[in-house]
Formats: sequence, structure tokens, C-alpha cells
Amino acid sequence: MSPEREVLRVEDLRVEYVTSDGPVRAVDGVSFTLLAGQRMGLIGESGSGKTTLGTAIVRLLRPPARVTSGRVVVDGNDFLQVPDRELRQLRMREVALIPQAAMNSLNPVMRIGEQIADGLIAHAQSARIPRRDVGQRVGGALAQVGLPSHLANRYPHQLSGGQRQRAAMAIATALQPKIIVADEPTSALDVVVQRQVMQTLGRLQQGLHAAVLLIGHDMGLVTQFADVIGVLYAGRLVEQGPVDDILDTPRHPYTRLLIDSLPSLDEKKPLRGIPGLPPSLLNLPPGCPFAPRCPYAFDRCRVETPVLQSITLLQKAACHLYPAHTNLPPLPETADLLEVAPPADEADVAVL
Amino acid sequence: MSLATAAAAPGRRALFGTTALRGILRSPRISGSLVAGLIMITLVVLLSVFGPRLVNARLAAVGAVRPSQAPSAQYLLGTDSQGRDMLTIMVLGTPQTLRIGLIAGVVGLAVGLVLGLMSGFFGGKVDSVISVLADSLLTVPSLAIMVVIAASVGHMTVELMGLTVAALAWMHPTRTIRSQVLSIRERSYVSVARANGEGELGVLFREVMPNLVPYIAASFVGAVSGAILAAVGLEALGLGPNDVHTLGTTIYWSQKFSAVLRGQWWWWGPPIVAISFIFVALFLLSSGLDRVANPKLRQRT
Amino acid sequence: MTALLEVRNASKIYGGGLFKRHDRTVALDHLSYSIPEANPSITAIAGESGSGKTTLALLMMGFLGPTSGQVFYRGRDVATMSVAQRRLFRREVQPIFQDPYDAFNPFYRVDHVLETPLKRFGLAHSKTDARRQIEEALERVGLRPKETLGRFPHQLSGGQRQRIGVARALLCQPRIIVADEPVSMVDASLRATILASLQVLNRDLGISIIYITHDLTTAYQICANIVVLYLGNVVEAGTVDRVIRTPKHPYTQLLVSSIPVADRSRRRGEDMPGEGEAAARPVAARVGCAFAPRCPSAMDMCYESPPPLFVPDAHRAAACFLHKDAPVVSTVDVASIWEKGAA
Repeated sequence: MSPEREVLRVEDLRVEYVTSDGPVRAVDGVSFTLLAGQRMGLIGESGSGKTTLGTAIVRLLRPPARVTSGRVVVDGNDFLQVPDRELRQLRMREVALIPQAAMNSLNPVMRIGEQIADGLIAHAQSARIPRRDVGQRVGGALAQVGLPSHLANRYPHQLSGGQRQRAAMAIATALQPKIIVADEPTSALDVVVQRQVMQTLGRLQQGLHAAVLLIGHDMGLVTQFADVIGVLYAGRLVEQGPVDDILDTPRHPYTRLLIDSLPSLDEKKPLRGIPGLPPSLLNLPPGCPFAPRCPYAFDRCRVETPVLQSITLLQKAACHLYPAHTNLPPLPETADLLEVAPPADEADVAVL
Repeated sequence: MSLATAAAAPGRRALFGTTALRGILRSPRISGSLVAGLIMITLVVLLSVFGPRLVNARLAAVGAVRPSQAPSAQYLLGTDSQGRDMLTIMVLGTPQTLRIGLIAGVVGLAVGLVLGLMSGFFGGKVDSVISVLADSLLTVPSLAIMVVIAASVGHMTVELMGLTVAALAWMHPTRTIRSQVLSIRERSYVSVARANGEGELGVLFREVMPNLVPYIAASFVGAVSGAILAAVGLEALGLGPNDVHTLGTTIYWSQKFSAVLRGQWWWWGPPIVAISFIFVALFLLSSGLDRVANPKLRQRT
Repeated sequence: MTALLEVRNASKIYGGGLFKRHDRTVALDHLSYSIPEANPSITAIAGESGSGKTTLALLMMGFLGPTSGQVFYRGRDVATMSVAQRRLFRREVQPIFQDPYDAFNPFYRVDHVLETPLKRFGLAHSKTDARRQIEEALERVGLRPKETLGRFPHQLSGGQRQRIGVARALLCQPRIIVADEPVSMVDASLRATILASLQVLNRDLGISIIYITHDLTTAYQICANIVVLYLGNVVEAGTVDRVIRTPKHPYTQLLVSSIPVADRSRRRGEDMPGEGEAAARPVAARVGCAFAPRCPSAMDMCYESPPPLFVPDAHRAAACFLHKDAPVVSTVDVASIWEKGAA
């Protein structure tokens, strides 16, 4: 199999929110690469910065958030530096965003077909779509997401939740982008509909041979879809690698604890949460941000911030246990199922 | 998920302690309009409270001084053609206008609050009746009705003036409060309060009302401002109180004695300036309060 | 089996009114369910949106009255209770709501929601006693009072707020807790802690818990029994082992297979039939099985009359004509399926 080419490269991206109490680092030096047709999943809980990251990549950040450094390279160009006129052309054709709760962002007084056409026509000049072909392209966009073409004449309230989400996906991908960033595309949906929407996303990806960045907090959902996984914590990538490797042998303690905290259908086991709380991004502890909650933490962890390093050929983790170890040691005894309180200065909580 | 509330101070009890106060002042809820409006209104209030003690009220009686004098060192705002000192009239009239506005605002708001709460919280037939009443009265040209009422009153006083205006000032607060109550009523914390053993009235007063305070304040300012406007309108038509000076009656008298034709700008000018000042102050205050009440209006740097 | 709380043949119909009879939709359709006095357990009421699970929860808590049928608490009809009896009912059946952001009045510190029940129900005889009870409740759910009390809701995380919600319910000294999707808006890593505290309440304090959810994996972890609802009807009920590991109703099978599992061996599952989504049917259209239009195994008889609950194996019942040769449930009460082993 010939190596796929790189379509997206994020280099040391940093995003800050300016608040009345000082800057809050929501994304702190994230780097990764996406190949054509590859499915990458970014898993993060509240406060991990995952939504900020997704929005930053497509340049849709609003003040008080701003990118302080880093590059987002799309097809050789730094997307963040592209002048505004070119940006319109690149958006939707190269990079598309399916935002959180996309189905709520549909215009309630416009028919679905008109909304899809809106996006197409706005970029018609650049992509040179003649107006008379728009109708056909609308039908095509709907077909891509498995919706029958007669839905183009309906209003959003006449569609079910799952159909609306798929319509939003159709609007975002009408120009057949090469990169799709999907931020929690199934968050408000029931589990059966969730499955359908994820299948649609999968078929969409295959049909367009697009690279997909799926952002979410549901590990089951993300790992079902993705080939490659990144785990975000406090704005940093703490682990990265092929999904099977990570599920099998997670190498970062946070990933390990996260997987352990998921209930399974196979057997009833005692429930283990991760003690403590995500750190306040305003008051990050020195050293590794996970150290206060980490069962493996030792002195170096509280002083020096670990860097993402390769553990195996394809798997990387940001943890001081490596390269001394090759795998995570067995978990130390923790009978504590309930919360272990963090030290006093960490008691402030950021919700992102 | 909402943005980092990085201003989370560990729970310190005193709301008026220094750190909390500094926090409030720095908070994005406080806008320039709010501060400016507050300062302006405070000036007017100070004038109204202390002014009358500092002037000689007799100078505002007919024939007290030489009439039709332009402003001079002796009579800073001149005198009207009836021989009254304009400065004294202004100082005595402004508080009266404010009083009318306050009476109408308070009464109108109180009625609106009660009706809005009942309508929004209890729903059903109560809501239907109140809503139909409020909605239909809103479409009626209020000035016309107030003219009829005012003209039928024999001896118009400041208090009666206030009530007349209040009669048509309660509908807007009713609707505003009602819609807020409708949305608050659906929140989970209301159900939690019921689960905690609160009775319906307890829920109304302890859970719903506190969240209405910003809207009540904003409605109040709006009501007072509208009331002053309506009162001035009625007074300028000659339907105002005839036993005291108000800003509006001053305009009426100046009109009656052709002050405009005679070029006696110091007669109709000052009341207009004063009224405008009060309005601008109330407007700024109201939009400042709107921002306190509605977080979405706040702009972040 | 004496029932503590009993829902008897309850239906809830919404909409309609004098001029819109045909617009009425059925949220609950002749449901009977009881919670026994002895052997308090954790039972799941599972379903998607529109299934009626929230309506059932509201009926059980007395926040809503049934259109037909009755709700009994300690043998008394909720609709005709005296003030004192109503008070007891209100105190002993407590809710935990889904949304930790909505469940707190932003005007007050979180102490308010913990102090109010003690005051209203007269459960503390002094301020110190109240304070002690509150601290104990917070510690029981794994929170530190010093870091929780005195704070405003926006200063705490969703997980912490949800745990305060559990502590609040606890302070009322309830017999039954109805938890409506208590962890669906909480991060995965914190869910386990909250669910564990529910288990502790059941085990150590003998509180029956009704766990309303659409997430079958967490239901499997903490519940003993489960009732699956679809458009206001019970489609399957029984022990979690039976129902979730070996579902017998096509809808339950669809639900179980749709769960995304972080398991390599289960990735990229095949298309499961049952496309389309549930739309509440108007009253007039309710003939036959509600799931028939989406069911891959639908037969003619499914469209003609609604299936009763059959018992294809012990401690489980499914309302599906696929099992028409099995005995029918002897009593209407769903709980009897696992209590006595019906039929």
C-alpha cells in the first residue's frame, strides 16, 4: 500500500482565552498529522480543550479566544495565515466543520435545500459551479449523507433529530472537502440514532476519501470510528497512536484510568472513577497536569512537564515513566472509589 | 459548556467585603452606560432632595419678582412673565416631576409584578384573563385615555397624576415579568425546591422572585421613564397638578404666555433641558441594567 | 409483596383539548409497576426519547397526575392524600435530575439546596444538627464539605454538582430515589463515582432506586432489573442479565447492538435493521404493536392487536408475538416478572 499523503499538519498549536483574571491556556502545544482518508479521534473530557482545538483548526475562534502560536498546515499552506479572501475559498472546499449541536444551527425558516445551496453558491465563484447545476449538487450532497432528495423541500422542524444532524452534515460537506472536523456530532441524540449518524459519517468519509477529525468525550463512540486516537488532557496531547494499540496497551496513566472507568457489558465489575478533578487552567500545577490525580506520580512529575515521546513505532505518550519503562506498571492499590480531594489551590474549576 | 469562569473566588461570605466589591466593579456586567446613568440620576436626586431647602420658595409665587427678566447675576435663569424666579421654579419643579414618575413607576410596577407573577406561575385561566387584559390595553392609545381621565378629575394633585399614569403603565411590566416567570418555571431547580418540601408560594418567593430582580429593576426604570414622559405630556396640555410647579406645567405656562413668540427662551428652555437630562440618565441606566440582567448582551474584550 | 409505591394501569395522554382530539399523543399506555417495601433494589427504566420514561418518573414522584389509572404510595391514592400524607410522600420519594447546570438556582450558594429540606421537613432539631447532617451527607457522596459549602453553583464542576444533588436527596431520608439520567451530562471518568455512591445508598441505607436512562451499559453495571419502554409501552422487562445479555424483543436487540463499545472485537458492526426513528403515534393510530413499522420480524398479527407480555424464560418478559407460544404474564404489574417469577 503506497503511503498516503499528509493533508493536515498541526504544529505546536497554542490557544488562549483572555479573561479578567489572566490568560487561560486552553490548547497548549498540540501537534499531530492527518493523512488523506485517515480517521482520527480526539478524546477529551470537560476542560481538555477539545472543542477549542477543533474550532481553532478551522479558524472559527471568537474573542476572547485567540491563537497565540503554532501552525495549521493544509496542503502546504498555513491555514491560520491565509488572507481572508482566500480563506472563503478554502473553507468548505478544503476544510469543513460539523459543529457541536449542528442540527440546532439550521435556519428554521429556510428549506434544507436552500441552506445547502447557500453554501454552494457562496463558493460558486471560486469553485466555478454554474447556478443551474446547484440543484443537482444539492441532491448529491443529500445523497452523500443518505437522505432522500425530496427532503430538500422540507423545513428543519419537519425532520427528525437524526435527519437534521445529517442535513447539517450535508451542508458542511456539500463542496466535498478533503478534511472534515466533526465536533461531538452525536451529542444530543439517542443511541440508535447515534449509530446511524456515525455510520453516515463513515460512509461520507469513504465516499469523499476525506480525512476526518472526530472530537468527542465518548470513548466507545470515538474508538469505534477512528483509526488513530489522540487523548487530550488540560489542553495537551498526552497519548497518541493507532486505536487498537491504545485500547490494548494504553501507555499514559490517564488513558488507562479512562478506559478502566468505562462500564462494560461483559461483566459486572466494581466501578472505578478517576479521583480528583480536572485542573483549573488558570492555575495549572507545575509539572505534569495529571500528576495530582495520577496513581504513578513521583517527584519528577510535579516539577517537570513531560513531552510527547515515541514509545513504540506508532504510539506516543507524554509521561516520565518512559523510556525507563516499556509499559505501564500494574496499578497501585486504590480501594478508594470516591473522590480524593485536590489540594486547596486547585479547588477552582474551569469549565470549557 | 460555557467559558472558564476563572473569576471563581473561594466562597467568602461577605458580599460587601472588599475583594467581592472589587470583583463586582471589574465584572463585565458593569458598563459605562450604567455608571454614567447612575451618576446622572444621582445628581438629579441630590438636586431634588437638597435643592428646595436652599432656595426661597416664595420666589416662585406669582408676582414675587420683576417679570420677564433675561438671565442675570441676580436671577440666574431669569424670570417668567408672571414674576416668578425661574431657578426657584426649576428647583421646586424637578422633584415634583420625579415624584410623579416614581409614584406611577412604583404603582405600575407593583401591579405588573403581581399580575405577571400570577399569570406566569399559575397559568391556566388566570393567565388567559390577565394576558387578554394586558394585551388589549397595550393597543389602546394611552395618552388619549389619560387625557380623558385627567380632564374628569376635578382637582389634580401630584399623587392623582401619578395614579392616572400608573393606570396605563402596568401592562408592559406584566408582560416582561410574565415571560421571565414562564422560563424560570421550567428550570429544574424549581422542581428541586418542590422536592425539598417548598410549597407553591415558597417556590414563587424564594426561587422565582430572586431571579427576577434584574428584570424588575430594568422594568422599574423603564416604567419611571415612560411615566415621566406621559406626565409631562399631560401637563403640557394643561392637565397637570395646579397646586405645585412641575417641569411639564412650566412648559404649559410658557406656552400659554407665548414665551416662544416673545423670545423668552429662559422660560421654556430650562424645563426641556432638565427633562432631556433625566431621560438620558434613565435611558443609560436602563440599558446598563439590561446588560446586568441579560448576559448575552455583554461584550468581552 | 406489599408495595411501597404502586403505579396501577396508568396512562398519560398529552395534547388534544376541545378542538384537537386527533392531536393527542400517548406518552404512557396502561402501565402498572410497583416498588416493593422489602428488598430495596436498583431498577432501570430504559428507553430513548419519546419512550415515556421521564413521564413515568414524574408520575412516580407525584409531579404529574395520570390521565387515567392511579398512583399509590403506602397504599394510599396520591390523588386523594391528606396534606400530611402528601408531605410524607413528597419527602420519601426524591428525585435526582439530569442536568447539573439547571438544577441549582444561580442566586443562592449550594448550601441553600441542602438546608431547605431539613427546614421544610423538620429533619433537624438545631442549626448544629443541620450542619452535621449536611456534612455527613456530603462526605457520604465523596465530597469534602470545606470545599463545597459556601460556594456558588458556577464555582463547582458538573460532577460535583451532581453529587450534591445526590446528597440533597439523601438528606430527605427517602425510601425511594428516582434518578433521571443522573450521569448522562457528566464526564465518563466521574460517572463511576456517582454511580458507585448510588449503589452505596441502596446497599447501606436500603433505598430503592429507579434509574432512568438510555445508556444500557451503566444500567447493566448497577441495576438488578430493567424495564425497557418504547413509545409508552413496556416491550421487555426482567433481570439485567437476561434482558441485556440476551434480549428477546427486536427493539431491545436494536438498542443493545447500537451501543458503542470500546472493544476491538466489536468494531465496525454490521448494519442493524430497524432504521428510522420513533415518532409518537396519535391516539387514533395505535393499533397493534408500536414497534411493528420498524421491526424486521413484523408479521401480520403484529399490526392487528398489541402483543401482551409473554414469558419466554424465567425472570423476563417480552411483548412480542415472536414468543406467542410462551405463557402470558399472569399479573399486570411489571415488577412481578422478577419478584415472583411470573406465569
